[in-house]
Amino acid sequence: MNPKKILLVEDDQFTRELYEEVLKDAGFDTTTAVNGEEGLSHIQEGGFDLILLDVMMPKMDGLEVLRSLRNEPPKTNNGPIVLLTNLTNDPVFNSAYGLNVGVKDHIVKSDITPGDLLIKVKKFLEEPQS
Amino acid sequence: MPGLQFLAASLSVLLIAGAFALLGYIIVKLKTRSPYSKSTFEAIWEIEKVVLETTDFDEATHKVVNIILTQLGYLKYGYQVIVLTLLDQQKGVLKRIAISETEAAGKFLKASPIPFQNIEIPLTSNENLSVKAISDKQIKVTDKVADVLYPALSRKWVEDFQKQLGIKTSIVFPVTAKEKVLGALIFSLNKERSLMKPEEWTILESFVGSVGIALDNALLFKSLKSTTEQLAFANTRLKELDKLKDDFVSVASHELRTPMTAIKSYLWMGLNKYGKLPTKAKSDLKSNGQTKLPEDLQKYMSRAYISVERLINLVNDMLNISRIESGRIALRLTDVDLVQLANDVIDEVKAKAAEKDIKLKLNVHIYPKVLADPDKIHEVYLNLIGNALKFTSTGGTVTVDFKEKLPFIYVSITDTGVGIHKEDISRLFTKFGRLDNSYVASASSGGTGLGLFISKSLVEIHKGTILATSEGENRGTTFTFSLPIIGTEIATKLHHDAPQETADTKDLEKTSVNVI
Repeated sequence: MNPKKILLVEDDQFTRELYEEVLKDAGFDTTTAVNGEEGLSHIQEGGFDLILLDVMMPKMDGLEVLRSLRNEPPKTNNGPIVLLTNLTNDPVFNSAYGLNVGVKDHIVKSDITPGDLLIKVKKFLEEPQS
Repeated sequence: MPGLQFLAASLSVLLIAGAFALLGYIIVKLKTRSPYSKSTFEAIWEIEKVVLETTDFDEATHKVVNIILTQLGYLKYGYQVIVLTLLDQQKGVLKRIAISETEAAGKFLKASPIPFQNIEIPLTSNENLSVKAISDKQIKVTDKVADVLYPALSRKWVEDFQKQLGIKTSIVFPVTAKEKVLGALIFSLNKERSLMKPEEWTILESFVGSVGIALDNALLFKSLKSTTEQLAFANTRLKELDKLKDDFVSVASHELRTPMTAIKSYLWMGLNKYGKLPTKAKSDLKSNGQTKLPEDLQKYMSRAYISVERLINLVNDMLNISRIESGRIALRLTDVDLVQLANDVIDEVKAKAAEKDIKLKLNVHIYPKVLADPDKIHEVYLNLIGNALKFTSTGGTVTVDFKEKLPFIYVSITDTGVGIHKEDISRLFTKFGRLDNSYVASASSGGTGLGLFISKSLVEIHKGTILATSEGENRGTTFTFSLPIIGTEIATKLHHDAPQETADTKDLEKTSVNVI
């Protein structure tokens, strides 16, 4: 079985590289993007089993990425999108879920450890796609 | 806005009081100085209507000066101009604020070298008859109109103009209310003083009395209106500032979290790969058991990791306090089973209690439900039970018990821990009010020093109370908080007063319980 494909969109270099290391070490086929624009082009190509999307990013923020996806759906379908953020209790989340483009959950980065991230990622990948 | 409601209430009280005062005044006058003509009586009622119906100051004063002429028909008795002047103590002048809409008045307004509103008489001008009438609190009569306009207008100009209009007498009445002089009413007539009948004087006097009350009310309205406006403005500004502060705290906390996440995650990686994690966090990551961290490095990194977790909790707690204090924590009220909720929290902390071999006891009787926001009370429970675990040593017991005493359910969390000195209890619920403030003590307690303050705030927005009791050092502590039972009067009041969800309200940040 091919390894699961994960897209990680995160602008903070330290966070991105750490999560990338953790995901790769766990055997996932991990692609990274450093801002919303880059992330969007990857998402539109499609074929990811899981997308971890930061919200506050330069150039194009996570919410803008989601809005663009609504207007122009990806060529190949992707798995669920999980918002990865340090925003908490923000109206942004409701907007994100409301766009109906596959956002399944949000993770507050400061609340989790790399170990927690891996547990969550595995759970999202196991859940049947609806 | 309670301030405005209060103002509105005082306004209506004043109105009613004013109306009664006027009525009383009229009755007294009617009894002592009868007989009155029907038109006089009607005119007085007309003034009262002005007092009752007109909240606008300028409108009220204009109505007052015109009623006397139009309703009473005093034009035909030779009354040409009526002017209302008002004391401005701040500027130290007598200001003209209203003039009758008569032909002679119109001519004056046209001809006057300075606009009517700008005619101001300094209160130091003792030659001026209006100033004199006010300082002597006496009626003054003159055949020279210049006496009431000097020094604002030159005597020469006024004398010429007086001839054109044919005014022969000016009478100045000080206008008073509640024994306070407010200003003066000036009547200008085209007949000699000697031709005035005694009834005329009587009627003028009673009018001036009514005008005093009307003016007093209009002034109160005016000052209340401006105070109300100022308050509304200040309130809007405060809300804006509050929002700015809250936005700043939100953004700042987000910015703080990014580096804190990196510190926490990298330390975690190091500890997980080469050493031992301070908390027994579950890990699916392979740890590299071959290269052990040297003992001292393990200690350095563990302590750095614990500290950054505390830092994250601190940011969360500060966000929570900012939100609670600015009323941005909405309550989602529902019927809550406090025993069930306590049970949920105990399940969460069971593992931590087991680590320290502390027994958790829960009284499982059935109690009436309370009205509360379960998420907020969950936080309170977590904080109080977490504290109890923190400050109780191995082998101790933490007991959660309930008591029903209308209209509240009282929840008590009792531990067998370190206890509190009586004199320290009042400091417990303050911000950073943790008792032993040395770094070692706070680091080993793992708390932020804000938990009890937040718990107290949360209980109090539910209209409950919270208190701590202790028999003394090493004799345990009991925290008791209360919440209103559903269906009670206080629960209804809570429903009514609780902060509602708006675009600006947010949830509580979750802080983790660290028992070390």
